[in-house]
Amino acid sequence: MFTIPISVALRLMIGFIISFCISNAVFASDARSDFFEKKIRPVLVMHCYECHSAKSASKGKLKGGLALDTRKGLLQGGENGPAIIPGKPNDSMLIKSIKYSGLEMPPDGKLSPLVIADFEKWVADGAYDPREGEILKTKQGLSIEEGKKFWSFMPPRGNEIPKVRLNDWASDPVDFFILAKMESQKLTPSPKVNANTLLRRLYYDLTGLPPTESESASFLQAFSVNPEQAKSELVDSLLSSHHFGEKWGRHWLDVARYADSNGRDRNIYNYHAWRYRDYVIDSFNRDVPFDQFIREQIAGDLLPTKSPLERDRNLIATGFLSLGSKAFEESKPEVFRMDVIDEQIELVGRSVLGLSVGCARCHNHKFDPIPTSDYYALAGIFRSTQPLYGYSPKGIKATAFAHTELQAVGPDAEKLGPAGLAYFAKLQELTLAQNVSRSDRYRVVRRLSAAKIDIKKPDADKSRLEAEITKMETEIKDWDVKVKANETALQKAIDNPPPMPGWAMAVRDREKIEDCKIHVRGETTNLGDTVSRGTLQVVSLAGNPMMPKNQSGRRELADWLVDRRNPLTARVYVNRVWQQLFGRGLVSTPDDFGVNGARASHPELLDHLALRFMEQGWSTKKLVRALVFCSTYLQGGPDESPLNAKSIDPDNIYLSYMRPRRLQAESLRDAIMQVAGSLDRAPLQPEKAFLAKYNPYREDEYRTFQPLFTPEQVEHMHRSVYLPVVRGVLPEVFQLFDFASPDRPTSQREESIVPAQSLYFMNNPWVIAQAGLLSAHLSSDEKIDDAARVRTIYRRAYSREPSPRELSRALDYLNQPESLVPDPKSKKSLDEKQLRIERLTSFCQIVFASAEFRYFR
Amino acid sequence: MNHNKISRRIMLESVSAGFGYLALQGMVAQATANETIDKSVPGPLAPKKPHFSARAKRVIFLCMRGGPSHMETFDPKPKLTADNGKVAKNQNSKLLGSRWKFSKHGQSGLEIVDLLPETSKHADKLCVLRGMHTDNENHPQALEQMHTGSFQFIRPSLGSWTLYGLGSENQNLPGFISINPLTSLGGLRYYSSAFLPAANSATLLGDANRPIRNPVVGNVSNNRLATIGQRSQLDLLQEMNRELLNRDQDPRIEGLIQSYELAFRMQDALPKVMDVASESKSTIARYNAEETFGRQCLLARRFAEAGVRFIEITHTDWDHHGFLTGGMTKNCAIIDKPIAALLEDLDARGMLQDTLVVWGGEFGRTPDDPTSDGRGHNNKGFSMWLAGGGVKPGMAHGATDEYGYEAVEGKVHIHDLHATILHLLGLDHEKLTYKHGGRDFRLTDVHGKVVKEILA
Repeated sequence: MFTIPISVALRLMIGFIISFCISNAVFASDARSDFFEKKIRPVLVMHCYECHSAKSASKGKLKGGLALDTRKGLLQGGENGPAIIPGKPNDSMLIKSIKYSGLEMPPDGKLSPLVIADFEKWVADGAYDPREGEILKTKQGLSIEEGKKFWSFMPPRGNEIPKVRLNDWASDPVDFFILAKMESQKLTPSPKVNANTLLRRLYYDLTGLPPTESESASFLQAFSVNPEQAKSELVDSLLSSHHFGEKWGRHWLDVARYADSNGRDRNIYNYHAWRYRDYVIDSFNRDVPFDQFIREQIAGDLLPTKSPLERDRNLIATGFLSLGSKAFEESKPEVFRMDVIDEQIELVGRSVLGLSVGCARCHNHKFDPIPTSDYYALAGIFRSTQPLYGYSPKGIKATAFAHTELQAVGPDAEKLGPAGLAYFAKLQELTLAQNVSRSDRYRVVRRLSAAKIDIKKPDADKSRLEAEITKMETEIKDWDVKVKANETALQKAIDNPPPMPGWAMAVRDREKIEDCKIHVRGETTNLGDTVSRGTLQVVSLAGNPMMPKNQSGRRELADWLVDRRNPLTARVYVNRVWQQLFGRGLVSTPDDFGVNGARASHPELLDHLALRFMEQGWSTKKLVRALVFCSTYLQGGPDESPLNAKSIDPDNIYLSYMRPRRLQAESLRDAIMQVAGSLDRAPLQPEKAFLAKYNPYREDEYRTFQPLFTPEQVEHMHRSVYLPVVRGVLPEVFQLFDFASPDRPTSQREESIVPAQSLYFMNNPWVIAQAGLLSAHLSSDEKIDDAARVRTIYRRAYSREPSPRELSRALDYLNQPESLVPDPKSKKSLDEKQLRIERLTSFCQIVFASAEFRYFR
Repeated sequence: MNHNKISRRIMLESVSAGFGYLALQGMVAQATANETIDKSVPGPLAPKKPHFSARAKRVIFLCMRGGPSHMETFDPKPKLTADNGKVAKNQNSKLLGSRWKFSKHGQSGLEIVDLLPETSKHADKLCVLRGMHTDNENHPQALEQMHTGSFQFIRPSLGSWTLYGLGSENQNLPGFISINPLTSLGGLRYYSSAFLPAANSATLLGDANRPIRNPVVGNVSNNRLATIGQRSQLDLLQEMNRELLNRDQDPRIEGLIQSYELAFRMQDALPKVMDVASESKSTIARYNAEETFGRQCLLARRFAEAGVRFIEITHTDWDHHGFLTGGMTKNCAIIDKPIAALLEDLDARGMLQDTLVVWGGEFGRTPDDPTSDGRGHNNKGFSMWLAGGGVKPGMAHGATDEYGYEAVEGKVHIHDLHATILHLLGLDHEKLTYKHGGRDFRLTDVHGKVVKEILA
């Protein structure tokens, strides 16, 4: 239909342009123009304009944000970057696409080889293009100017405390914001929570553990005398207990995608990651200001320090940037390097700014005001940074380029560090030599086996093959000797380590500080302009920081992240704290404060908290303390909420009651152990940790591809935060109860309800064993009766007394014959006393499995 | 007050009918993803109607880890055999012809290697795709792409998408089961529901690293209590849980209650399906079910009969860089009889027409090698086959070049295969989407074309 008028128009146009050129210009340009008009333009019109022109844009049919009907459009390109790079046909997307390598354009059939050759020549000759016209405004993400007007990129504002009708409820400015919204939805607050529920809520929220029987008793006693004082004293004691850091540090470890192994295809162990974990726990316990905490993790190695201890802390903190999962299977060093950088950028973006900056690696961000050039400005900083994560999979030649050193720490670091590093390098070298000789030997073995098959064939050249076989057999014997020698040398080195300092994962500046080039479509082979190192343009703080020539710029990056004028950092963090305490963030997408993220339910409150947090010295403990004293937090559960609350506000966005929260995996395990009496509440000493006992060079993961241990082997009786997080081999309780995936930063865990969880409570031997411990312990006291035992169980597990009905029901269960019908398969015969213990075990198991235990209110 | 009473009563009734608030909520959420739902069954895996009429109701995926050689199985290369020993285009290598003959089978005359005599008897049921290709030539990445479409990001597995799209036919069993799955080298990602609701992830039986004949599901059995004892334990537990539900009216508690009941039924149902004692001696023999792979095929049939939507079984290892002769002989002998028995049984039960069987590895192998008894990785051309479930039987689609280096005709990318499998299941791969992190995700990302030529 369209071909006829277009070709007519073309001929007219070509005629016009040719005459125009003749009257005008030098011969060269004339020839180029001729070439363009004859060979290039008709093809563009015929095959490309339908989807890539102003006209197609006006019909909403523009594809890939790419317009090919103007010179500027061609040079600027679309979502995937410039369509052509004049002079460089091999680097030009248009050329690659019409050759069907990468994109396949035009989609309805490949152009003829002659036409493709014309396009290559045209680009090689400089891509002469006379077509004027402005760049099409295509529908992309927000521009930087638009972005600056988006709510999360504008600075937090101090808002007036809103007026409310109910005038004796609010006890903190926070409550006024909450109450005003509540009233606007015709909701009213719930009555105050009772002492037992409050006690549990505070213990779980501040420490992740339930109160013990005696802790409960002393609080309830104090509360009956002076509730306010009892509450205040309890909160202060919980905030200063080391369990606070174990609970709140773990949230940050989710965000920091902490793991004790690499994951992916080569799941090697991060033997030294635990130092970072303990640093995080310790930082929360010491209430290190959040801005300082971020500075240490991004640029600890570049900060001035007053003591060797502080210096070590800061170095260990930078492990944050080194803990990511790496693709050791990758064979191209440059791709490997850019992937590590990408992981770091994504980490910093999500964890601190609540933005998915990584999206801008291949194209301008589709939604947020982050151009690709911003991504590569950040990439330059990390390109100038050397991650120190230790060695790549041992003895694999293909990944030798990925080896890095570790950071020596501890009092003897300076003295022992260099020799230790030399030793590791030596081991690495010897392992490599051993493995290379093994595979060289194996190659001959393979050839030999093939030759032995060939020689049996009727048409085989027997004498030649026989000679070859003999030769190969001798070769193998030679190899045997070499392999043996290499093995012995390695073993000898393993057995004779020098005195070692402590080791940590960390980062340091590279010797070469460099800016990064834009990688078109994220490809390492398709480089564009160099971008100066820098930060995101949309958050420009009276001129973004100048990057130093002799340093990576991480320190400047860190300063920019935690600058009080940065509109994101404080908001993102207080939102996470809020989410931990109320079950839902004021912004319900805690990792996405961008255009696609949710809008804040209480934007004024979020700003209020962000400003207050910064004014109070970025103190997590102060923030948490303030929040748990708010009337909002001190409301009762859903059963106490006024009648209409759940129908008006099923998701509890307006917080007119406190929604019960599920115990997270760690709390679940810890609580079971505490109730059973088996929990060791002391922090795990590092030298007792399973990984610390392993000599990294004893086992060769390269050969087995197998994890060195099963989750059961790493089990200990300390809190779950000290269990190793081996990517892909998580402890069962973590796997089943939605532990945060350590593959990426996570602010909000899933909350799945699947039968596998139920089966865990019904049948898991560990759960039954813990129930058995509790039962045996209670039964050992023969002076008390079953009623007293049931009461103790209720107090320990639920922090309350059973009602008379609950008590009699439990006693009925303990006396009911079916409550213990041993499986006929189990041949154990039990005496009456054992049977009683077993029945009580069954009851304890019910308590662990119950909703009341698995949720706190 | 009155309002509250009514809602509570309705609530309780609906709970006792096993169709409560949670299920309702779940359905509302699902309804936006999928227009029609069968309202008679509660829960996140309630059966859903497909986008259009389906040819296959379920999938059995026979995953051959390591990359089986197409030149030694389903893609005869006479020219390669003729040029055996000649220098290959890779100068360090020599062309290596197959050591085995191919013969024509059935009415279709489909050519299959002589190493698979039993499977060859079912040639007229097979639809061989000889033009397969994929993007990556490393095992972990290629396996991940075969399962999830992506090797760069963690994405839901094909089985998870299937379950998400169609729900499960049996509410007492998992809807997606992987027997002896690959658990190392990032393997768990192959079977994960990623961002899809967790109920869609695979239930894993056993482990390919330690393949055992009788794989078990974690925590499915209790040797302490007999069923009656456990029921009375559960009765008290559920009574306590219901009290909390009545007090808080929290849909999550209802989910918990349902989940305990499903778990209790699963405890019973799963071992029954997995207990092959009722199978005749001749069946055990036909499947060679005293061995691991045969048992897996038999279990796959039993799961299919029981209404499991997506069943995957794994055989490893086909990574023949060396010892090709011995390796192929051994592996083919292991898989031949069981696969034949599976096809035979599905056919005899009339189930082959709505069960799609898929066979293949993550890539194929090179026609050349520096040694004369091994082959390298080849992602540019390899073979897979489909059977039943609405594909044309007894045909080969597509081709590699004369040596087998790369697919040249009827090319089917792994995205195309995914699109085709979903199509056979009645799902439009462009419409089966899930919103996550602000955008809609598909199994096929922005790719995938249904291979129309093979649709029956």
